[in-house]
Amino acid sequence: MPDKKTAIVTGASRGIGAGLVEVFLNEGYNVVATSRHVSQSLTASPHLVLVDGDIGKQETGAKTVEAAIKHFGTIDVLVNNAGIYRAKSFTEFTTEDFNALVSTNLLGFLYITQLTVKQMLKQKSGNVVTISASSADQPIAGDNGSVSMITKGGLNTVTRSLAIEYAKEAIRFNAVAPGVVDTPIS
Amino acid sequence: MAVKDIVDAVLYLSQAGQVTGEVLHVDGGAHAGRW
Repeated sequence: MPDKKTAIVTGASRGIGAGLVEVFLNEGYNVVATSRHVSQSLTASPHLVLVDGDIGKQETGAKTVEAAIKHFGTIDVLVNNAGIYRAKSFTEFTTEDFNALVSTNLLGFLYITQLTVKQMLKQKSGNVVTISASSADQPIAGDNGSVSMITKGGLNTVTRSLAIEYAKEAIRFNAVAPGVVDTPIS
Repeated sequence: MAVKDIVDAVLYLSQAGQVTGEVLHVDGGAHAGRW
């Protein structure tokens, strides 16, 4: 068993994803980072492997998981951070909007999480964290993210389902639901 | 809401061996009600 733990981060080129890559490296993890053009934003190193690709495509999930196992031997943490958000009046949402949201937010969760769980079952341990949205549970007037929230609510729900399905195999599933800039605290 | 706030929550969950099935809101309390 390798000394260092390994984390996969999706949507890694900017924002929360880029912050996660930096912190996991600082904490002594090996990291596999993926996003459409992550190699243009981050620089690979002995402890950081980059995989370019659309997370809504099965091959991107496969390449990322294979890279983690080949380079580092285990997958201890998967952070499903890749996500898109579209806001408009409910009646204005199109099939293209719906399909784009489902592809990145749901298929992007499904493919890489399935492959990661197969590896975690071999390890008999693992931790999956999915970035959701606070407004999936408590909508904010004027945000108009209705169809986007179909996907975020789905991610919260599947997190609970998988936590139960894999509890006996010691694979944990949690979600983090970020809020917006305007909060009761601020 | 800063990137660091979310990253800290993910790091916590990575070390929290008894926490699973949780949706951890990092939103300054927005999910709790009106303000």
